[in-house]
Amino acid sequence: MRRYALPIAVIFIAGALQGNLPAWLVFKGARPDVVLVALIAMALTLDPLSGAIIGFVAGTVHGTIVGYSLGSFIISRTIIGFLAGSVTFRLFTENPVVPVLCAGGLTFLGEAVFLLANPMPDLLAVLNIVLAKSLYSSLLTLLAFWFLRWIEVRRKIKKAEARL
Amino acid sequence: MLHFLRSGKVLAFALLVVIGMATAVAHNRALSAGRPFPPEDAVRVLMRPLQMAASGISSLLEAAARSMRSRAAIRRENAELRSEVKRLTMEAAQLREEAAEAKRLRAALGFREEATERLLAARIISRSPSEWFVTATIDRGRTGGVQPGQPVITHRGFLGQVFESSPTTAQVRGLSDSRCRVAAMVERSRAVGICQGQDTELPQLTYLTKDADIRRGDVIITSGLGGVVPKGLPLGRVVKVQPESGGFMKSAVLRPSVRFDQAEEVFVVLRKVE
Repeated sequence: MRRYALPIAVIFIAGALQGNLPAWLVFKGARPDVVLVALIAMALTLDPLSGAIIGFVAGTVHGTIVGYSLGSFIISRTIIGFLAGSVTFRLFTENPVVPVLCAGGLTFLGEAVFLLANPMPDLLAVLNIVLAKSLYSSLLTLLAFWFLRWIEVRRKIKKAEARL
Repeated sequence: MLHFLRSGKVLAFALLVVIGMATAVAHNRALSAGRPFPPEDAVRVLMRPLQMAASGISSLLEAAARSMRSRAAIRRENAELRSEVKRLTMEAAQLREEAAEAKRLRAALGFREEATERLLAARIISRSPSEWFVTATIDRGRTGGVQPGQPVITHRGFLGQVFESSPTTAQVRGLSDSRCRVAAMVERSRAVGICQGQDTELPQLTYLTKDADIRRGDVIITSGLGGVVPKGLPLGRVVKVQPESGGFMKSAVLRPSVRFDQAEEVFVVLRKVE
């Protein structure tokens, strides 16, 4: 249970930030989904089941702060967490293109699942927003990836120093 | 891969999805019955301090950005505000006179004095966390008397309506949200309709008869019909009038008097909602 404490705390903090993003961050009707990016970045370093569990929590937090469609948020985020967890950590650390593509693709898939349960009238406008949001997630995940890799490298250096 | 599929992990994943589906059903039932949903209440109680902190930091950053604006812009704004104060002072004096006259006439006609609304001050601590819904969280909840259905206003007019409340916070849907509907009328001609969000920045005034007297620039206010939202709150100004398909009705596009993304301090009208 302890291994989930930090990811869950990060998801709660991301949830608080999500509702206080400045308006200038909105790009073509899409705003960055901090909760989703935190979920994908963390799930990429975990196993599929752990990713699904973190996804379940992320969906609960995001659905709760929105107030509508709690179940759709939970299901779409659980699927995203599970799929992101299926990408191995090895692949993730060695190739930055993988998490970037994963984030974009998973955001698109997650929003598609969400919109299946909550259909919107203007399909073209919705598609534009979803594409912009996927692009946003990719860029933010790249930043999160570099940050996580920096932490990982520092951890390895410390470990090596301790051995010496 | 097959080994993975055979393991209990996929079963656990499927179980999580099933729990998600059950949550969806239970949450929708609670929402439509206006009942609290305990798992959501628990998350909201945990989230409140974090949201308050994030909102405080966001306000500080905005204030810092504002103070960095050029001197010329501040001088220009100051001049504009001075002329606005003069105009509003004159308007207030005129309105005071008209209010006194209305009071005298009402008393003369033996009308019952309208009950003064009880307002609860609140602060928005989270706003529009998703593109698909126009919602916000305020820092007052059930313990403060906030209930689903109660209107939320600012000094500029109607902002939205409470649709869920936890012990310490409440969720508000904005006028632009497609689930928000308010009985409205044209201030000048008293033509009535329903103001309805379109999930875009601009809500619409619908169900107007084809001969309703409405034109660009008209101010739309709440009509008070239904007894939930008080009468006379500004909703917005007409930017476009258009015929509905079929030709029996027309509708109008409004620019809301309150910008949902800029509201910070709000008031909840503590009316008992049936």
